[in-house]
Amino acid sequence: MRIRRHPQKKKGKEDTNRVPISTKSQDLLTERLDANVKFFTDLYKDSSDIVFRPFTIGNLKAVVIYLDGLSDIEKLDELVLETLMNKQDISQTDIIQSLIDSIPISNIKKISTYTECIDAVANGNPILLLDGAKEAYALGIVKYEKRSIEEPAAETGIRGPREGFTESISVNTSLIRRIIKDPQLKMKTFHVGKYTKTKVIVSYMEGLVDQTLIKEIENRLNRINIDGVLESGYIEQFIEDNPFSPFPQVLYTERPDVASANLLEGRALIIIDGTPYTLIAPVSFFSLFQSQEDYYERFWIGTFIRFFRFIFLGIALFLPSIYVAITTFHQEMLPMALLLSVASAREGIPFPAIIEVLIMELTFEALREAGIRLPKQIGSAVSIVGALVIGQAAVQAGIVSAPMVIVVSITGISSFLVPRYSIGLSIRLLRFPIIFFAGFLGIIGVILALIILVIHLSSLRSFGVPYLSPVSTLQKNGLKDTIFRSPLWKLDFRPHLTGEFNAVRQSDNLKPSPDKEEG
Amino acid sequence: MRKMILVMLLLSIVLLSGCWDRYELQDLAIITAAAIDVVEDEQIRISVQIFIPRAITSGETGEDPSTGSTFVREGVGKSLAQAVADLQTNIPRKLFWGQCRIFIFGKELAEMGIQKEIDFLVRHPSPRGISNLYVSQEEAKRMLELIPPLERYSGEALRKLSQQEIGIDTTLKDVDVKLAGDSQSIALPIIKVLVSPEESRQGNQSIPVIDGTAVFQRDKMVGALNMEETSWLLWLIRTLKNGTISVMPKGNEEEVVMMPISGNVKFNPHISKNTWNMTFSLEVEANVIQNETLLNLHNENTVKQFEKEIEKVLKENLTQTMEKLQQEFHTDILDFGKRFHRKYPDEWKKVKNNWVEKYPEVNVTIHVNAKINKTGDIGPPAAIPRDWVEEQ
Amino acid sequence: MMIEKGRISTGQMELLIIPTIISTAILSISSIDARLAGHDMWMTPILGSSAGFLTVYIVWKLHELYPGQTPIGYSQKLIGKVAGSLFGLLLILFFSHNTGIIIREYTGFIKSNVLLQTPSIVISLSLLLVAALAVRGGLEVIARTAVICTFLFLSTSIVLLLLIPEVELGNVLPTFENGFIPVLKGAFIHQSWFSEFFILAFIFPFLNNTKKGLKSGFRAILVVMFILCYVNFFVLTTIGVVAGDLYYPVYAIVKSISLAEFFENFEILITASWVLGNFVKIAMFLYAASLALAELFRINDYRVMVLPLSLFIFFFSYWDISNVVELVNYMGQIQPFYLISVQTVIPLFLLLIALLKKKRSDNN
Repeated sequence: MRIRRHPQKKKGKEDTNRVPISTKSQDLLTERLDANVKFFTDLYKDSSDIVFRPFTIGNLKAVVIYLDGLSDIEKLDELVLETLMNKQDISQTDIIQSLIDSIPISNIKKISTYTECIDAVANGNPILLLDGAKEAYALGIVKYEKRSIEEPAAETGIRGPREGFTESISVNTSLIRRIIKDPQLKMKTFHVGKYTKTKVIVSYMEGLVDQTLIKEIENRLNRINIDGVLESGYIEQFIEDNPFSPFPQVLYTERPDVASANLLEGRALIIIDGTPYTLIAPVSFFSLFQSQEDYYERFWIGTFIRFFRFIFLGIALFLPSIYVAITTFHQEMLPMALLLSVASAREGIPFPAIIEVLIMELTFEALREAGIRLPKQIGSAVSIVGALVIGQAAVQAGIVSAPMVIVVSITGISSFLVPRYSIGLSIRLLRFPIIFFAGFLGIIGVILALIILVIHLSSLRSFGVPYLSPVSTLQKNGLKDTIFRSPLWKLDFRPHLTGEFNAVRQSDNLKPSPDKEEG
Repeated sequence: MRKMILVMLLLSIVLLSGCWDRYELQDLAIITAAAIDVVEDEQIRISVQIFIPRAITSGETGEDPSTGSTFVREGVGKSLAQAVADLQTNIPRKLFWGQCRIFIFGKELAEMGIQKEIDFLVRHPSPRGISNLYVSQEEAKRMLELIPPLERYSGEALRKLSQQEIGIDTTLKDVDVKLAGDSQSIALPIIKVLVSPEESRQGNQSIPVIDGTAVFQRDKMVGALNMEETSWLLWLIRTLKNGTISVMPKGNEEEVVMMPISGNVKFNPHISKNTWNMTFSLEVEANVIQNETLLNLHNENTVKQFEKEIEKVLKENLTQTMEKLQQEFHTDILDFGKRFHRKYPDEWKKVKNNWVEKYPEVNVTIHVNAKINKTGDIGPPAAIPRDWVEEQ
Repeated sequence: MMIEKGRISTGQMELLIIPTIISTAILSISSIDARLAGHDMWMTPILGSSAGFLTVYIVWKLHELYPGQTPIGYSQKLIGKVAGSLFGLLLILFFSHNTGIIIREYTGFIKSNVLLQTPSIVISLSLLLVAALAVRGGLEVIARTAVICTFLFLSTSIVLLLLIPEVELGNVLPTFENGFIPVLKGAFIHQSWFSEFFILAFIFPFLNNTKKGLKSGFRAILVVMFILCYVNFFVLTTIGVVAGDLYYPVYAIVKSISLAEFFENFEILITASWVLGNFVKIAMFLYAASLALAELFRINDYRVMVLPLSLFIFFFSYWDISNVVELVNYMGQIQPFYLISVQTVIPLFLLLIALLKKKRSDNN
């Protein structure tokens, strides 16, 4: 399978206003403490949150540098300063090593460049500088305020674990490690963002994943050269295959169980520090319609709900346009009784149906957007205004017809049925051009829009995986878990993504039956 | 980027250039039924019943039953097409034929022939093949002017009546297929205005009801069957489900009324030595629904006797109706032609062109086999002292 | 020279080729059939499919002898550079002309039944451009789009089952009323459609599993045959031979579906799904024409040919046939000879030459 590679553009010119280090030799720490300290005081001038703590061990001068609020000061005091300052018998041989060995902290890293020192301080590791030592020591006593593990806010469910990812990357990786204990789970660290230096971890199951996929992800990550990564969306938008597509080509989740399930299917995770959302790649259109509960509940229910989602996907995309097409082009499609009711309702409405649809859809979008952004207390006021003013009053005043309100409401509800918010956004967006097509050529216009949509989806790839696979590539094994959700004991194979992969997921005689002999 | 601009440009051209077939519902005059009459100078007049959407708006005030929710407009022209064109000049909105399922022909027009009108209706893309056709006793337009007390408009009342299988049910498609086919005969239901006995209701507050069958030879109406004959005709086509059949047992002056519940109709064409025979066999099962006599229906022999009686009654009446169709009207509405054609294609080729003459010569034999299934919940007549009941 | 880099599976090929045959066939073939074969029209597709089997077999044999090549490539090897190029040019003109006719049929139908006042240009161009968009995506995109479109297109054929209450089996009688000749005549019309399986010559080289190609081609023929029989059967048993008078009998029978007073009038939906089938057909022909053109003129990317070719086809669709009467006459009288000679007879000659050459080289 081919992976379309991102064009490797030439890197922009290196920025100059960073650390005043131009050559590698200049980057090395010196043996003289005062020179080292001076370097840092110059670097961190006008930064009030940086703390320099000079002290002496016997007669050896030392300095601890840390950022206020990022490091555990209690531990620094008790474990480092107290131990070192109380040292009396400083043996002359290998004095520095013996000092370091006496600090009761598990994680001490020896670093020898200024750059490493800066990174260590920025990450909350205090650095210990000793006079006469060419190296500094990063002390692993990071401590900063973080959110505790809570239930995922955007991906709720009835059944399933209640843990969600947090903003701290180490917590997130630990959550995944707690589920997948096999050492084949790999985590590769990258740093993205010139100023934020955000930690990004690419995680995958070795042996289950196609190595070219990991290479491609690494390439795409290395290409990113931006000021900062504030959310997973920044990464997402830089690694997409088709940046102009309205469809998400990378999935995000805040559930460790969903993330682990995807790892086990041979996908890769891109975990980003500072956000509870973890990216999953590659994805297909149909994986956007899977939710974790499809698998936790029994397969009848899973299949039924899947089916339901696809029907409502159609409604969310096409109902307003079909309404426009039928009421203005193909009135004979309505049964007589319905036609008369709709005709009566529309009598005296001043707008053409297409304008009416657009007004209502836009109003609905506005209401929805207002509901998200506003504080909760005002949010309820907005919904009252929306329901009363738009719904009731507009119909009574004869500005909007009642069937239209029903159509818009059903459309609105349907778009919430999609388990992934990102594809819900795409549907909202695409609804409008389809309405125009419907207003132009009626149902033929709707069909043309549908064809264009399918063509676009067919030409889309997510990290080399056709977006409409496995349906449009007719992979029998994949079909079991797309529109249907076969029983778990039937899902014997992993979905085929790219290249070589480890297909067999489980043994093929797992169908439970009470009288089957064990073994 | 250039591609995007091109796409945008194309899109805007397409979207701004207009929507040619777009009609808002407010710009349509929804036709619910149409009536075609012939007026002076052999002009064709089409009258359409148009729905008034405002009449049922909001539903708070309700409809005014005296005015109804429809009105009637008409157009006159030398042909139906011209009449329709004339009609459009009298209506500010665009005529919408897509849901018009009822076409009523005046009797006068039916007798002159309806082929030209059928051609217009079949050729036009809007009227549907499943539209029902009727022949009106009086002026067809009159049927549209009625305001039914129960339905929204008279067309709806008519359509619901047609579904009840009291009369013959003929669609535009049937007419086209049959007139082009072997039999070249059609039958349409006849309708008339129901004279309402209620005094409180005004003259036009009534509905059209079915009142027999108009039989056509080719496209011309040649005669009519009344309601009773129609019900016998229906027996020949399919089993009548809603009808009743009453017999008077020997030595009784009162009747036993039965209702058919299931039945099977079979035509068997047969040619031997130049004589064309058609055997019609009918199997019917019926339930007793009323017993006016004093007979006890628990008795097996009585029931057997009844079955015989039914067979006799059916056979008599069916023969009569058949004869009327065959000898009096010469119309092959029971598709004898088609049935012979299928079984004897070679013989059919010879008579194909003068089937009208050959048709009355076909010998028809009718076999009836009746069975009584249930006698209701009781055996002997109800509300009568036990001694009065006659056991045999 | 391999211009197409995508590979598709045999299943995708089947779903590509089925609508390519039936989408125009179901529109008007029943009408011609009813006129020619009368009561026996239900069996004409069975006989007509013979041309399909023959064509697919010829194309397959040629593909086996010249794997990985399209007719443009091997015709030049078989009958020489000049003659081969002329044949290639003929094919391109043929595909363009035929696509023009398909678009003409599509536009005529939509304009007379759905969008009565919309200018024909808009109807033709809109679909043609959408098809061009798909072709520009390459064979893989066409195939993946076709899977979805064909599925939706074929699934609406279930609707005909709602006509079962109206079916009058007696309409099938009498069989062979006028002997066997009318059936053959009807079958001959079908053969022109079945000969369109020739287009597989442009797909066989791009299968990812080339061994199964023949079997899958035959399977597609059987499906097409079944669907045409199914459609003809319902036309015959619901309206009978009157179908011959109608231009679009299938549309007429769909129009008369009425179930429970509510499931009716969905002929528009059927039309809409039929547009999907037509899209696949036009995309397929446009693809073959573009690929052939690019290969003939040794252009590395056939995508640049698509838009100019679409315009060319668009002019064809207006230049040749002026109204629906002419169109039906064309389909009944000219098309069978025209299509079969280009798509079956000429390839047959190519195959014979190829076999002779092979024999000679084997002997040497």
